[in-house]
Amino acid sequence: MIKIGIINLKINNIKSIENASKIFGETYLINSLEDYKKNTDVLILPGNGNFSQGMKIIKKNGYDKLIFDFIKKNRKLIGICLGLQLLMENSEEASNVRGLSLIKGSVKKLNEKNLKVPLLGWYDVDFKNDIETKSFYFNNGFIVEPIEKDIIRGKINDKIPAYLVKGNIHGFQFHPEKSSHHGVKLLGETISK
Amino acid sequence: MNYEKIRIIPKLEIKNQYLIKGVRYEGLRKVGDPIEIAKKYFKQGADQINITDIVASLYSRENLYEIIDKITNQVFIPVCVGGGVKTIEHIRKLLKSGADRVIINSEALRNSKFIDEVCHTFGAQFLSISIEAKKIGTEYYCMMDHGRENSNKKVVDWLKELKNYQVGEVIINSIDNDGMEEGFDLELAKIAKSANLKCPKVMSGGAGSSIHIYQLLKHIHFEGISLAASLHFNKIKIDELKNYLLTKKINVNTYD
Repeated sequence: MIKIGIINLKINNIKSIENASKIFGETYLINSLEDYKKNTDVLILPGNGNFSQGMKIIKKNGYDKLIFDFIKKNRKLIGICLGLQLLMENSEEASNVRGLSLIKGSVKKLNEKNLKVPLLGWYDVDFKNDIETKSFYFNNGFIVEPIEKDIIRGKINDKIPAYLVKGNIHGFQFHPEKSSHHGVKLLGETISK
Repeated sequence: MNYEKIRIIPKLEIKNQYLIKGVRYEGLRKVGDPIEIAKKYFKQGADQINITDIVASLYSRENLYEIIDKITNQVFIPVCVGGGVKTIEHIRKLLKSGADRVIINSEALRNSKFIDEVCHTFGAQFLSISIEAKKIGTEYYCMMDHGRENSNKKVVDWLKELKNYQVGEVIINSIDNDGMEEGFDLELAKIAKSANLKCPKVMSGGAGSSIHIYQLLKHIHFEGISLAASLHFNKIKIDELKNYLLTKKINVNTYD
């Protein structure tokens, strides 16, 4: 059975991702570094909130080193919403804070003529690979802008990055765990594949 | 063109462990078990569920955590919770129970610094401001404590002020139309539109049929529609409403 560890930043709802993850593997929460179990197959960094708060908690708890070591072992990391943004180098939300820098690029304030800020609600995501276009739940005022464009595997309206894949790192800007049954299914496929 | 799907949001008002519904925030009657009803609306294709604890006493709050916990175990859509939210600690407990976002009315009016505090701790996308509007004379005023107290602030002024904050969403409730099922307060909706908010806005209070919702959206765009009595008393079914709106070219989300 796949073993899944979820890093709890304690600034967002953690229960929904835990509930969804449980369907697909043996799931446990990481509330401090000691909770981490060595044979973990998938690490999830969820989040919804402020970039600087998120980084502060990661640094304070030593999760940055945990994540780096985990990636080195070629295991799967899944970032969700703020969890994805924290994988980038920096963010306009917190100008002097350095992100985990696992993905080159930055986090920018959403500034689209036709979109309300924050993105709050359901938007169609078109995927590059064989995932079907469907609506997913977004709740973010900032969006990622990776330098390598080919890692973007899903977008809203051919513009806004919604799903990134870089090696073993998967990043969702939306909340699959809150996007009804098809969202939970997509999370499961990402965990298992 | 709007890429955003217009959200259909059941609003569950909770008193102790019961789902209740009143008319103009009064004459509350029991509707049933909020957990079962939340599950039903999720199955019907709701896009989000809003929960309000209308008593917001210490006792009812403990009940509420349990209700949210049970709902979010089975409902895989966003669940937003409000009612007497005054402290960061309280919000953390709501999060722990499984709430995704928080809805604040009275405390934002009494202490606007709290808005910044919440946004800084949890991010601006996290906070929905609820406005409980009541028309007195020719003006709409923001009411507090589930309509019991007048803040003496005009809705039009509060909306203007809110533009200085980075809130995630504004929900406009009409107390006068609440539970009447005779249609939305279009005058209030126009005031909300004129504020030109950057964030999404949700209209609430008065819908009694699918046509009422179309009549509103045809003229005034809202990113969300909040429904209570019309759902609770089976005047509207969410899946049927969405199919109807799609035939009218209103962009809503349908599920398999």
